[in-house]
Amino acid sequence: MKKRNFGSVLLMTIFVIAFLSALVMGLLQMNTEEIQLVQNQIYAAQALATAEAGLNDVFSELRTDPNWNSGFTDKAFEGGSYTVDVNDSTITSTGTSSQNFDARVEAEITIGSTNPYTIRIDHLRINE
Amino acid sequence: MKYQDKQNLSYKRFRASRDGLTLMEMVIALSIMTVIFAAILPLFGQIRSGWDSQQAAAETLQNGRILIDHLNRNLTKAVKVTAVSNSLVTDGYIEFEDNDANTFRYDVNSASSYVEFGPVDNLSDLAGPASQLKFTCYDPCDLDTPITDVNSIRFVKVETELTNSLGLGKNMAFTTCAYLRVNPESGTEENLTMGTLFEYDISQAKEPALVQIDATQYLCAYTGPGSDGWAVVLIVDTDNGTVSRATAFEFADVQATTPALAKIDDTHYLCVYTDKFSDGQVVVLTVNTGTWNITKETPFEYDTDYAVNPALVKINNTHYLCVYTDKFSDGQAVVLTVDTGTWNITKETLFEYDTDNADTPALAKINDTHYLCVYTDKFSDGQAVVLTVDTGTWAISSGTKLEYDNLNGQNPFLAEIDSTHYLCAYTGDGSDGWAVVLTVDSGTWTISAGTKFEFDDSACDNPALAQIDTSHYLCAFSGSGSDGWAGVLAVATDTWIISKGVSLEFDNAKGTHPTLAQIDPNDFLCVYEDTNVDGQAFIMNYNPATGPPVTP
Repeated sequence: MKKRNFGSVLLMTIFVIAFLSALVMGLLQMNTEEIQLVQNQIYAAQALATAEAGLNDVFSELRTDPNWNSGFTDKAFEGGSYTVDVNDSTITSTGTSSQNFDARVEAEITIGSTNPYTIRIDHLRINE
Repeated sequence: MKYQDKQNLSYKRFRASRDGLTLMEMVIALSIMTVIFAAILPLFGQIRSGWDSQQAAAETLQNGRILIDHLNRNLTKAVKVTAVSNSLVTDGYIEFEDNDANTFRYDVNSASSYVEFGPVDNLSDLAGPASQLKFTCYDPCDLDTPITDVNSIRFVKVETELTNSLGLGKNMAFTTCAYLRVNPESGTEENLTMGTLFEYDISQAKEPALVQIDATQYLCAYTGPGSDGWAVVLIVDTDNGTVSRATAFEFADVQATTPALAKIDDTHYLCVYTDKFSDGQVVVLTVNTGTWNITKETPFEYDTDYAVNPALVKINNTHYLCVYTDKFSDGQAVVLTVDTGTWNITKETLFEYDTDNADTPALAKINDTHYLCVYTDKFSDGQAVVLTVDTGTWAISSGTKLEYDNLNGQNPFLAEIDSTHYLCAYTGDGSDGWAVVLTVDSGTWTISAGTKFEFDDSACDNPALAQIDTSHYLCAFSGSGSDGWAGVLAVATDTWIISKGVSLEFDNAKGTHPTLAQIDPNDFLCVYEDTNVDGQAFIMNYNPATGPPVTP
């Protein structure tokens, strides 16, 4: 009588597929974490650059008018935005990246008395 | 069929349908699987090692990103660098002060090779391992020349190489630059300030001359009350910025104008002046270093015809070169010999160094036998000449003249920069303040002039110079409205280009004929005539800029 041995192939296939899947999933997981780390860093850097841009925007205003103190609120910049508060000699700029990452730059400044109004940074705090 | 038979048949069918997995079959299947796995396992190993390699590279890259980002952020907001390794050191370090005056440090742990960061006494691992951490620092104006002077560092270049954790993995190099954006609190602007004015003669004190006795006492000779010759010891207190005086002494009771002084020794000073007949007189003044009272020895008339605006410089303890304007307004030079026993003075042979015209000469010693003389010629232009003194016969000769300013060059004053370069300040074109660097060729004793610089474009009369350091000179002069002004002239010692630094109006009523003497590297005694032609004295304090420019 002829034997029908169909069970062993299926078992082997399941073993192999399970092993390979576990391997690939594990590696992909590690890779995804790496990518996420890098992305986080990029977004944080974007937010910081946006905050810096806000600070420089205020400096640009102060160079022409040293008494300017309006600041900016959610001013769009490269997909994100910055909000800058001018409080006497303290300028606080908060940058938000397109992925809602925040960064904060605060500068205490002294403005020159004659035109062109040069700006000297006396204290600079980044994400503090 | 019986029920029992039916049961047996159904069991047999069941057995027939379930007999694919015998033990033998299992063994064979597992053996085949083992063989297949054994065959493909090395392949998995290679794949795994490929992943590991990428993983390690990614980790090194991430480490580098973190490190560079950290360095850049912290150095950018640093107030100042307080210590840094030489730019050639590959396991370097840097210490810097933050906004809250805390000092942090980056360095490489010598055991683990990890880059460490933290407060100086509490470092912890940041990233690594690193095979290189190099800091190259620059000042804000020159990004080509690395410096190590922490007071000037404003720009830091960081080069690092992180080691791959895999033996065969590649190391990665990272470079970043950070500009220290925060004003260093210790950095100061160049400043020139004055202490309290002291009126050392309330009656009259014209055209004063100064010479240092010691660190705190200065001999001042001037045309005092009755236009007679007076001398007084001025005592300076640099801690309080005040000047006081000892008893004044009338060294010439008939008349004495435009005195000039030279130190013989700690207690004796040679004073040349013009008497009431406009003749040239010279006298030794003796200073009592206990009471600071002054006495005089026997005067000597070195030119019985005419001698005005004399200038004096010491050749050696017993010989002094004196240049002056004679009765024909020509330039005369003579060596005066002082007997240090009797304090009698004699003169050597006169030498006419300019037969046309030579007014208001000034002298500077080049070496024992050569002296640079600048003066105003018959066209009121600026002339310079090297006078050579034969120290055997005391005969004088002159070299080739140089007209350093063909527009105007009056009341010149000299200050030595080095043995071949001299800064000359004078009243130049437009009666403004000008300065030029004169270069003396020590082979041919010819003179050449650098680029002229107008340091005051409103007015300048009777400038006086004092050296602060090799590249900085304090210049006091009578400026616009005859007010008293002082300014710092900076000389680039490579191009000999002159520029102007900070200035100070020390008397906004009037300040003429100022004279300067250096007290210490930062303090200078200045005496001048005020608006009532009285004698005023004060201490000027100069502080060079520290750190980078701190405008505003």
